[in-house]
Amino acid sequence: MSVELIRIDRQGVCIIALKGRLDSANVGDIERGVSHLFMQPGDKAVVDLERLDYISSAGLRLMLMLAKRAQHTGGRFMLCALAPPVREVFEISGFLKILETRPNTDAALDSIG
Amino acid sequence: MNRGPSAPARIESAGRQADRRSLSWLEPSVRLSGLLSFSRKYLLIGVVVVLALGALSFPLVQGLRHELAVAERERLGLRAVLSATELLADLVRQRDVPQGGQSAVSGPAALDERLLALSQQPFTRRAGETAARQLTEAWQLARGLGAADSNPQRFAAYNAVVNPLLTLIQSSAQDHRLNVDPELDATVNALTVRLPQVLDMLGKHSTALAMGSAELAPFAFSAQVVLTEALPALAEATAQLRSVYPNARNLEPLLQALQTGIFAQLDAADKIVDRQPAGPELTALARANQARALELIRAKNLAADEYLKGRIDGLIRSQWVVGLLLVVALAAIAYLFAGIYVSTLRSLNRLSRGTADFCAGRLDARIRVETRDELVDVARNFNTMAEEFERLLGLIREQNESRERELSEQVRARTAELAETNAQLSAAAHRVQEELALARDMQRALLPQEFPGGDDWQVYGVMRPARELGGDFYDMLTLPDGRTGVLVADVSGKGVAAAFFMAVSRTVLLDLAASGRPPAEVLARANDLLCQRNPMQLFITVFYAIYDQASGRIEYASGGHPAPLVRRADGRVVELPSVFDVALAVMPDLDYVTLHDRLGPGEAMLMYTDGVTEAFEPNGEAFGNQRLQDWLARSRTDEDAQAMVGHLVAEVSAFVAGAEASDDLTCLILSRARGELAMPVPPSVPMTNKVLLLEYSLPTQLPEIERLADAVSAALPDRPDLAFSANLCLEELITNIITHGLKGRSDCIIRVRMSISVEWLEIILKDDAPPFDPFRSAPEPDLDLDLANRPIGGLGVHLVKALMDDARAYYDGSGNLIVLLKTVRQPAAAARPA
Repeated sequence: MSVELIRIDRQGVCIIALKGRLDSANVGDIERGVSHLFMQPGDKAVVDLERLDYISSAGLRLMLMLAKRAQHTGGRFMLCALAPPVREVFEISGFLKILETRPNTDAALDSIG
Repeated sequence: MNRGPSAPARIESAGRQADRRSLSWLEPSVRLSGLLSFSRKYLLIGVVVVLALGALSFPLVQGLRHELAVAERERLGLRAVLSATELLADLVRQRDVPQGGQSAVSGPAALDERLLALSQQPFTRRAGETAARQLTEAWQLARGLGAADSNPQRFAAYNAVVNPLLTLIQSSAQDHRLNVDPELDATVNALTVRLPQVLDMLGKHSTALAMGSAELAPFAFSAQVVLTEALPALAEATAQLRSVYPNARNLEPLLQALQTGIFAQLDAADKIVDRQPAGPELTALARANQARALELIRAKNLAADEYLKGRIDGLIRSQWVVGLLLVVALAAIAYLFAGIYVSTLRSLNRLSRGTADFCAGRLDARIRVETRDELVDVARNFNTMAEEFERLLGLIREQNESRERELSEQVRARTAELAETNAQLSAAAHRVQEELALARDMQRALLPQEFPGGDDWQVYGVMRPARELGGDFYDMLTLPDGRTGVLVADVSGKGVAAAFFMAVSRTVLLDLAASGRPPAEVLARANDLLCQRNPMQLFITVFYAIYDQASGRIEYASGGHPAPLVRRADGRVVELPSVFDVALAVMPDLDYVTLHDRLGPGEAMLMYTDGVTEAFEPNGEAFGNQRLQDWLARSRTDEDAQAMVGHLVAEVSAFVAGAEASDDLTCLILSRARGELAMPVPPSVPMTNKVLLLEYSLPTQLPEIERLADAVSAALPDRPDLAFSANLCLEELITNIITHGLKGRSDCIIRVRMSISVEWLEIILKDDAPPFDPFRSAPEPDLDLDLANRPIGGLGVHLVKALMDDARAYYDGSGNLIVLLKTVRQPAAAARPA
């Protein structure tokens, strides 16, 4: 599998850093890795995409699902450090309108409250 | 009164008029009384009564006072007369004193004063004044007499004094109104005329006889006459006096004595008339008689005076009595009035208080008036009225209460009834709703759920009823010869009746169509059958076409139905040429006409009912035929029939904007694909210096995509951006093919070929799966939906279309071919391929 998931907890926020490529083949594994998020109300999570080289619609779907779960449970969900090609994919799909992104993890932690 | 009231009223008013006329003279007083308050009325009466009494008693009192004054004056007169008479007596004695007897000087001197005083009294009559003057003059003369004068001269001189004095006495009596006193007139006569005369005469008689002079003899004679004549008058006077003053018991004896004396004197005179001058016995008799006369005078005077005193007392008493009576009368009247006033006032107060109490709401207030006057009637009437009123009010209240109770009872009962009825109605409505829902489901079940299609053609339709149940329907059937029949129909009306007829018509039409007969024959036979089965006199418009999918030819007939619209290959929209035959079930034995046409590749036929064109928006504008044609013209040739139907429904819904549907909306689209069976046509784009970069066979398993990605990245080392886009598109398309086109089969191969030229990067995918166009199958994602509404799926194809400048899919008979083109130039501003 060409994707890695690293989980760090800082200031009460769960930071998920993804490394490699997120496609339809491995999206299932990542989904399992984040299944604990937004199970309780008020969870806060940041997905760090600095080291993610590639994302397809499967990955987009996963981010959308996380964002919807966060909304339902009153949590906060943010992405940060999107690489330009990855950012372009989010943009084309219109996801930048509905997901919050920040340049880096610190900015995301500041904003997430 | 010119109006004509009812008879009793007229009599009443006439009576009132009569009253008014008879009492009209009383009006001023009545009006005055009306102006005054109660106490003022009584005050007025009181004042009037007092004035009246005063006016009546005043003359009385005045009279009494007058009489009192008169009596007092008479008393004064008596005294004056007495003093004058005493003076007379003295004077007479003086006259009778023989010359040389008593001192002639001192005697008269004593009389000076008295005579002077007497003569100086005021006399009201001329006679008195004259007499007074004469008296004075005569006395002067008499005083001037000396010893030289003879007796007869002296006698005459004194007579000259005596006579005026006698007159004065009478004048005095007159002045003092003694002579007009009816009860004392005889007495006064006696006192002022007779007795003084008697005094005088007694003296004259004796003196004349004593002087023995022949010239004085007549005096004696006249004296005798006077004396004799005087006695009856004196007796009468005495009798009068006795009668008015019985206490004067001494009068008669005195008179008797005088009478006796006078007789004696006269007798004595008779005896000596022939002789020489009378002796002293006559003089003594005369003197004695004079004394008796004087005594009688005094007694009478006293008696008269007493009598007058008595009268005065009586008058005074009368005065007091009158005064007392007046006071008593006034007091009595005042008392009575006060009583009446208070009583009336009390009654009135009671009346007014009682009525006021009653008006203030104390309905048990009654007026108690204990008097016997008319106010009692008022009180009684009021009490009766109040009684009645209270009773009536009580009755009304009772009635009201009982009616209220009744009403509330009725209301309760009615409410319960209503509630029950409501419940029943609502249950019934509920049942009806359920039945209708069931019916709708049944009707929907009648409509075809599956749509036929072929390699290059599709049919899709929809019917949206205006109410729960609709009267429109569509249907498709495969004919024995393999052709497809399509049918669209519209029953007149909507709702349950139309739905029933729709079911019947459908059965008839499908049955006839299934025989494979030509459309006109189908319609004609259906018409005849439906005319028989039409109790509600409904009718139905029908369009029936038979489509030959091999050639694209259609033969069709319509009965009263709007002509379908056809979008031709060049994008024009035309109406299918139609003959407008009559709708079915109107009348039997009608002929219909079959027409022919052809549906070419990329063309689509839209069959519809008037529920589409006659969909009204809130302001009343209809969707209309033009708008429908415009919409069809805008539709894309690569859209499948289902998508088109969906779009049309959405378009009409948006137009109607929530207004209530007026008719069932039905549309059926038969579309023929573009030349799918044709060989793949490469896009006519300039590809200069085309170089093959990659040729890869990919097993249809998802993890293999990653390996392809590495190969693609390796083939584009200096264009990582192109590699990213290419890989993304490849992953999306391949995932789609594997998941949807191959339905998950993992044993197929997808061949990927990537080439580059100066202008374009070209990627070709080839599989050997059944025809599957990923670009047609996926709905466009709505990129503007918010997080909550954004669906999870539909992204992949969108990404491909966005990242690639051109993306087409073909089916070349053995499998699908996908050709992607991306411009190489940065930034991409190249012409899009045709």
